[in-house]
Amino acid sequence: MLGRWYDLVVTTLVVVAVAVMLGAALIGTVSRYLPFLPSISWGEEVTRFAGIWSVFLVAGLTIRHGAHLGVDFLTAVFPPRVRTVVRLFNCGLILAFSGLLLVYGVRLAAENMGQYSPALEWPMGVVYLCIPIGAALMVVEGIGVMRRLLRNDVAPPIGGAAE
Amino acid sequence: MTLFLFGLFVVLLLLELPVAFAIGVSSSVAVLFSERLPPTFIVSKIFAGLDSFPLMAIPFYVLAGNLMSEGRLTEKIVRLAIALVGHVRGGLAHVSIVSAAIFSGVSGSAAADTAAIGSIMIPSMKREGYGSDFAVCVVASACTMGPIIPPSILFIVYGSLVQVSVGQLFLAGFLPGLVMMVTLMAFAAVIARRRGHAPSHARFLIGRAVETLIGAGWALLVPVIIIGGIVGGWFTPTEAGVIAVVYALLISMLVLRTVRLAAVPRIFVESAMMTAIVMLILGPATVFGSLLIRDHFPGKILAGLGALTSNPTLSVFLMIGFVIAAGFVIDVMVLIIMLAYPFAEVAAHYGYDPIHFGLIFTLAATIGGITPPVGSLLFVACSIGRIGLTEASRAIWPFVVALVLVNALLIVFPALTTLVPRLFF
Repeated sequence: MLGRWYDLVVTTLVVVAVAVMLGAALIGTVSRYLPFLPSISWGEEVTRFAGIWSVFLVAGLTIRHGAHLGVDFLTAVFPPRVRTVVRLFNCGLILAFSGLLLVYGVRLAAENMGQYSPALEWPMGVVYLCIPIGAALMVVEGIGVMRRLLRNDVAPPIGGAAE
Repeated sequence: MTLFLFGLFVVLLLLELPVAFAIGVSSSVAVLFSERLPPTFIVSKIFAGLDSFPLMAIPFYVLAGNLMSEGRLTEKIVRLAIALVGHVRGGLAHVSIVSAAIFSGVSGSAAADTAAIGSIMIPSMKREGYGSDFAVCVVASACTMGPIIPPSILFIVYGSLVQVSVGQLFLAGFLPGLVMMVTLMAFAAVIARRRGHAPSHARFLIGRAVETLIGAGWALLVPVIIIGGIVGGWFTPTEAGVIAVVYALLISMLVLRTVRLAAVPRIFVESAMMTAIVMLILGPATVFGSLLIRDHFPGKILAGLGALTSNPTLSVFLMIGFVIAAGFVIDVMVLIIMLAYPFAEVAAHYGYDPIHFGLIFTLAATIGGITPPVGSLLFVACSIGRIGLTEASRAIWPFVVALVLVNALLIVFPALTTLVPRLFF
C-alpha cells in the first residue's frame, strides 16, 4: 500500500539509528581504556538520543506487524463482526493518541529550539522531533491497519511477545 | 484519580487495545482533563522516561541475544546440556531446563530465550514421545529463569524505575536462578517418571561433556565477559551490552560464519522492533506513573496494607501474592512497569533491602509470563509446539507451583539474593 520507497527509507533510517547508537556506545566505552584514543564526552548522549530515535522510527512498523502486547481472552469470545468493530475502535484510539503526540510533539520541539543538550550542544527541539516523526509514522500505519480491517474483515494479529 | 486511571486502563486493555496505547490513552485523558498540567507534559514525560543511559542496555541485550540465536549458538548450548543431563530420567526435559539456564546467561530477554530454546527443544521432545503439552510447559517455565539469571532486561527496567543498581540486581540473580533450575528439574523429574519418559541416552560420558563444552565455548564466554566486566568495575551493564553485541557480531560473522553481512540490517530492524515494544510501553508508563505519584499511590497501598496486617513479612507476602494473581491477566513487563515503583516504596518503608525486594518482585512478575490466560512465554511456547492455550493450561500448574515455592523461599531467606552482590560490592 505504501510503496517500496517508504519501507526502504524507514528501515534504512532505523538501521542507521541502531548503528549510530551502537557505534557511539562502543567508542564511549573503548576510549576509556585505549589511551591513544581521545576521550569523548558525547558517547552517552549520542547513545541515548540515537536509541530514542530508533524507537520512534520503528514505531510505525510495530503497528503494521501487530507486534504490540495485548490481551485477547475477552474479545476472543465476541462474534467476529463485533470484534472487528472493537478493533476499528482501537485503531481510532491509536490514531487519536498518535495525533496527540504529533501535535504536542511539534509544540514541545518548537518550545525547546533554544535549549541545548549538555555534551553536544544540539538544540533539544531537534532531538524532540523524533516524537512527532514517530507519531506521524504510527498514524500512517494505523490507517493502514484500519483499511485492512475494513477491506477483508480479518483482524490483523495482535499481541506478540516482547519482554 | 488512581481509580480512574486504573479503571480506564483495564477497560481499554480488556477491549484488546495494546498495552502501550491503553496506558497512553488513559494517562493522556487524565492529563487533558487536569487543570494544572499542560498537554506537553505527556510528550516531555515520555521523552524523559526513555532518556536514560541504563535503559539503553535493553536494545544491546536484545541485539546480542538475536545475533547469538541467528548464529546458531543455541544449538551448541543444547548439545552441551544433552551431554550434561541427558542420562537422567526424563532426559530432554532436563536438557531444556539446563539449556534455558545457560542461554539465560547469554540473552537478556525471556521471550527470546523461549523462542530460541523452544524452537529446538519442543520439536525434539515431541519426536521422542514426550507429550506436546509437557514439552511446551517445560520450556516456558524454564525460560522464566531468563529474567532472573543475568543479564536481564527486566532488571534493567526495574533498576531504572526504582533507582537501584542494575549491576547488583544482576549479581543477586545468580543464586535464585540456580534454585529455580534445581526446583524445576525436580518437578520435571517427578512428572517424567509418572508419564514414563526414559533418559535420552544411557550414561554420562566425560569425553562427550568436554567436547560439547568446548563446542559451546564461544557462547559460554558471553556471560563471563558481561558479568566479569561488571564485577571487575570495567563496564556498566549498558557498556557490557555493547561489548556483548560486538562480540556476537564478530563470532557469528567472522569465526562461525553463521550470520551473513546481508542479514545484519534485518536483525537490526527486528531487534529495534522488540526494543520499541518495551520502550513504547515504558514511555507512556512514565506519564501514568507520575500521575499515580501525584495522587500519593504508594501511601494508599501502605494504608490499605496497614488495615490488614502490621507484620512486614506478611505485607510483602500479600504484595507478592497480588503480583502473582495479577500476572494471570497482565503480562510480565506491564506488571513491572506499573507496580515496581509504588511497591518498592512500600517495601522500603517496611525496611526491606531494595535488591532483595527487586528479586522477589521480578520473580513474581515473571511467573505472570507462564500463567494462563495471559502469559507471553506460554504464548510463544504454545505457538512453537502448535497446541492451544487450554491444553497447555492443564500441564503448566505444577511448574507454576514450583516457581511460587521458590518465590516464597526467596522472601523468607534474603541471603539467597543478597549474598553474591555483597561479595563484590
